[in-house]
Amino acid sequence: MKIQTEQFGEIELAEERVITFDKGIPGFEEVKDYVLIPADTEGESPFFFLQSVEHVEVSFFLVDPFTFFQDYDIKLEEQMVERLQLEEPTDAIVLTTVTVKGDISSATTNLKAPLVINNKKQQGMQIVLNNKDYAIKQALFQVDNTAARQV
Amino acid sequence: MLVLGRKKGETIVINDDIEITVTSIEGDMVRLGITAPKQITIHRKEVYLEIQEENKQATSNVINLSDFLSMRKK
Repeated sequence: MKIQTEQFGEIELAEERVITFDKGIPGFEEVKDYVLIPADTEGESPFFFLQSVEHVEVSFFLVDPFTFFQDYDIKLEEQMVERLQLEEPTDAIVLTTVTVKGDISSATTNLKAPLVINNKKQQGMQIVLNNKDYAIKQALFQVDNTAARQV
Repeated sequence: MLVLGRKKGETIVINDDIEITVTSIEGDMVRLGITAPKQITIHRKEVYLEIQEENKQATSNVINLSDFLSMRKK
């Protein structure tokens, strides 16, 4: 099937790649069907696009949060596991939305409400964690001089 | 909006399967205990609104992808 994407123009994807968010995504409750597209085709980047199949303008930029936050930990409640029809924990993909306002260094990610996708059954949902330590606007690139130390 | 007066320990029932109990009242803070079927999600409204808003901002990104792809993992 051909899909119009905001980032890459028209692309061709297999029908089975469509992921259904039964309840939509908060703010986009009516938009249910998406495809997940790696930001770089070699698959080495932790970034992805979640593109609506029907609405080209609905596209989320996502990141694998574990790449940036080693201690990030989510516990799926039983009801979420059931709703996503998850049989194996390894079938779950966890990604968080990235918001960029202005400079890339100020990019934030929403650790409070990750998107969880069942990679086998192609079901997804955005869950809200009760953990107070996780912010809706968590700076993605910490200003901790890590880069400087590596030099 | 339906408004009900309830005392500490009292409960209301919604749709036969959702129960909300006032578990404590301290000053202007009321604690509510909620029993509901698994498929019902319950959130603090302000958190839900914030997430809606954040999602809207996340879709209106103009991503300069090469900037992100050049960010190397540590």
